[in-house]
Amino acid sequence: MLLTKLAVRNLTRRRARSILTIIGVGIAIAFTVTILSISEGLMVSFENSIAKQGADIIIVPKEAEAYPYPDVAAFVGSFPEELLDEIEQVDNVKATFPVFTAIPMDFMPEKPGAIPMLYGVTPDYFPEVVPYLELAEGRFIEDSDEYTLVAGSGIAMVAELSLGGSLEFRGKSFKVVGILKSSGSLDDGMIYTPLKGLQEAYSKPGQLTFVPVKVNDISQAEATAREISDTWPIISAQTQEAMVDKFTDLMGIVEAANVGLSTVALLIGILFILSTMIMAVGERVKEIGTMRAIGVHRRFIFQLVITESLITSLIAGVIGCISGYLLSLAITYILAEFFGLTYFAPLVNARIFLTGIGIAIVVGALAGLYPAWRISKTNIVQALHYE
Amino acid sequence: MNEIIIETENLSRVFTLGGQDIKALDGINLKVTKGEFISITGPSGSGKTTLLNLIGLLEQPSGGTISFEGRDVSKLREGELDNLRLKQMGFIFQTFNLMPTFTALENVTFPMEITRIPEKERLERAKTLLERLGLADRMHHKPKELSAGESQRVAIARALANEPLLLLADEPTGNLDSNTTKEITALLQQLNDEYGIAIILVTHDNQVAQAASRTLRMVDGRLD
Ligand SMILES: Nc1ncnc2c1ncn2[C@@H]1O[C@H](COP(=O)(O)OP(=O)(O)OP(=O)(O)O)[C@@H](O)[C@H]1O
Ligand SMILES: [Mg+2]
Repeated sequence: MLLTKLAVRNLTRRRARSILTIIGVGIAIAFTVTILSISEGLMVSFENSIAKQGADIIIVPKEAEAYPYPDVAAFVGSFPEELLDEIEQVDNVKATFPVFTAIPMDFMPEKPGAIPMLYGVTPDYFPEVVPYLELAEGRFIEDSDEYTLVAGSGIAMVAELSLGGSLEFRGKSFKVVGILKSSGSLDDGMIYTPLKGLQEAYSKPGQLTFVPVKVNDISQAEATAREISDTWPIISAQTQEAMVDKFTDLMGIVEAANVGLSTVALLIGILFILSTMIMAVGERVKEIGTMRAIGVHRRFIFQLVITESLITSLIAGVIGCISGYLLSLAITYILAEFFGLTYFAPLVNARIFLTGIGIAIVVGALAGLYPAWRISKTNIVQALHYE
Repeated sequence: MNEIIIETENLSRVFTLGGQDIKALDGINLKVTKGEFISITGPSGSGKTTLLNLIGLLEQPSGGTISFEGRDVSKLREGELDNLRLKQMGFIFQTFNLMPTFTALENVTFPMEITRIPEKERLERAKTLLERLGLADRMHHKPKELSAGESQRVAIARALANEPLLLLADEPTGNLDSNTTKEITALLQQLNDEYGIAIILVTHDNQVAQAASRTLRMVDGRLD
């Protein structure tokens, strides 16, 4: 209590300097929190889509092999759907789900982030491949549908879709029959249509760009994928696990970048507080000498300096976390409002807040150590006569 | 009642400066008994401050011993020395050395906070002291709002806060005008009378020195 009181007194003594230090450290922490929340948002978005999908093997055209994602596949090539009859003869293959994907680049020219991913699918795609999707209203695609669509929540919001409304792709009008609940994933930016309708609209009847496959024996999935790739040279099959691994590798890089960034924020914070505390302690040598003469223990002086440093950094931490949070809200708003990007949003969670506060505590403790140690060990007589 | 508070035996302090040894203190034997008022005068550089620093346990002697109430202080750990200063000694400085962020009252309660005296008692004691020293209407002023004489009286109140056995004052009137010097000197004399607190007063001013019951003179690190 006494320590805190004294520390606060000392900090308010040089108000401007304390505030500048807090702002400096606060900015470093705010940026860390923002960047962490962006990468957390990305990670969750990917996790909710790729990692949750019910497929064991993904088939794409050979040309898309290096990037076996449906959005890439949509641009580079396609393969005939008759191939699926043959693929289903492969021992371990249980079921295949034909998908034709397309990306309407001219969807909303004023909002480039709003370009949806079009998925032409069969009705069983929903329960089997994306079982996590839930309807907010309406229904999923049915067998009898030709030109209908089910829209992700984000795209529905940006394009102001409602049941009974319609969207036009390549001259064909697709009627809105369902709108999905937000899943916090890439699905929020997708539009599902019947397979045939989309193929027709894009003048690619019978062509597929993307095929999720289910197998009987998951332990053999890799061998099966290899067998498919080897047998039909125009396509490439990869296990879902391999894709998740790739994603995990990517996230590992992001994570490492985050650690790097946090470390930089930490160092900046330490430098800020260290220089402030060295100054603060330097102008109080005589006072501290007097305290020691009166009988105040060395340990108390040490704790006092650490407390001052910690209070500074904690205030900066709280301010940094709050402004980082506000910044990420602003980014979310800008992404949605100006780019129509709603299927990815920075995510601030307890872990990120704790990281921000944690950085603050480490900064305060480390930056306080040296000045605290130095001042607490100064010779009393010399300190008393210090001018 | 001739209880000895402090006793030094053959106390010496040598400073080495630029390869040269300076004997600041050279075989000091001094006994300070309870309630005694001692003044020390002497030319500049004769070792008065050095002696006071050693008696005040602020630094270590080069030779000889200091006993506090019969205990050899060289055997005490740093924390124990801190406690002796905190509870048994009061320091008064030429430059007052008040805490600039504290009010007069807070300056006086501070040493009692360190000794963990309960708040109520702390405040009561500080107020009584400040009133006794004529500072009743200055309690909530910060040091920069106090005159030199008032500052020194706050410092004296602070030195008395933990009811020490001994006051150590190094030129307490060095920064005061002659009237205030008289006031402070009289005050020290009264405190010595009233509380029976021992005082060692270092001064250049013979008039001030005369307030003491025993006047010592120091020359070249020795007591005459
Ligand atoms: N830290 C130090 N390093 C070197 N020499 C010192 C130190 N402190 C004191 N001295 C020397 O020791 C001697 C005694 O100094 P001291 O300060 O005790 O004298 P003093 O009697 O208090 O003088 P004054 O009346 O000027 O205050 C002087 O020669 C001084 O230069
Ligand atoms: Mg001196």
